Amino acid sequence: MIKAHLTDAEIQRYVTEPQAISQQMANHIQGCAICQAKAANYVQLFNNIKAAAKPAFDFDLSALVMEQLPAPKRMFPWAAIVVSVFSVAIVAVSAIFFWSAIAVSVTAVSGVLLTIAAAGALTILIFQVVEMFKEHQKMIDTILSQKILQL
Amino acid sequence: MSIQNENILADQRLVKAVLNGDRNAFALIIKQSEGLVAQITFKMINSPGDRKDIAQDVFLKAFKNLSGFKFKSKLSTWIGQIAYNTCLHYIEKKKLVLSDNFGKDGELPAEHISEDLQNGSEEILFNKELAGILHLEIERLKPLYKTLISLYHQEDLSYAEIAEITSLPEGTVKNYIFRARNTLKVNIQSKYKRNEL
Repeated sequence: MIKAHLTDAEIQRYVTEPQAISQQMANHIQGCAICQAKAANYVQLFNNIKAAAKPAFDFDLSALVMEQLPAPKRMFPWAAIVVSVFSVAIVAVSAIFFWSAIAVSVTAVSGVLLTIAAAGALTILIFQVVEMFKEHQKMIDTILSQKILQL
Repeated sequence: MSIQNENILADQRLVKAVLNGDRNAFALIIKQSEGLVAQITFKMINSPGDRKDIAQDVFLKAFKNLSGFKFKSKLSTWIGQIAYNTCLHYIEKKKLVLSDNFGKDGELPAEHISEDLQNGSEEILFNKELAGILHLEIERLKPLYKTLISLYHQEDLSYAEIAEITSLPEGTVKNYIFRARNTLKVNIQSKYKRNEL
């Protein structure tokens, strides 16, 4: 067992990284009241630092930063463009290919059936417009409430 | 999957979301790293008004440079690095002092070493009053030392992470933290003695 007392650096390492200390040093501390007292002081010091209150901002940092962020750069919607062009192409090719069959079926359909189909399409359109209007109102309310909170 | 890999994946998801225009993802990044930024700015900057400006500046810089983040470290460590450099720039601009000038060989100046430490004896000076004076004694340390101590003991960062944040060699970080702890202990012991007299 080493007889000289451990240096302050070794004591600190014994407390923070006990695995980094040699067995001889560990044996010395176990048999030395002075080194044990030094280690105990450091343990208490470190525990108190850890338990101390952490600093915190007394303002809403997130809100302050978010309102200063530049407007997001919208990327060109390549995927949407490709899908749209592909869809239109399929419909166009189908219409050309099956044109004669489509013309026959349209002329064969009765006026009542055509009216029912048009009414159905119109109903769906009205529902979609109402839904979009509700969504728009909701967004406006959210923006207004955020503005009021900031004031 | 290791915790480190999980952290990297979580960081990658957040950064990707922000780069795709998701502002809520950036708000989450702010919430996650606000504590670390507060720790660094409070320890390095005295003026509350300047702390507010610096904290905002840190996250605006992070947002601006997010596309350049290479995931070589944790996202929080990178933001900590921005915070440290921003504070450092502020200190340089104001011509303030960042660190104390210890001896050439890394030893504490003689006047800082109490007789108890020199002759090898050690009094048990720390007790329940410690918590009361600890804050004041930490505040008396130079900005770099109280920052390093807080990052290690309060934020539970490793020496390597602190080295990344401060851009100091890991050995230097260890050495500085050792000196800071030693100074803190000696100062507290001196204060106890003065109070006893």
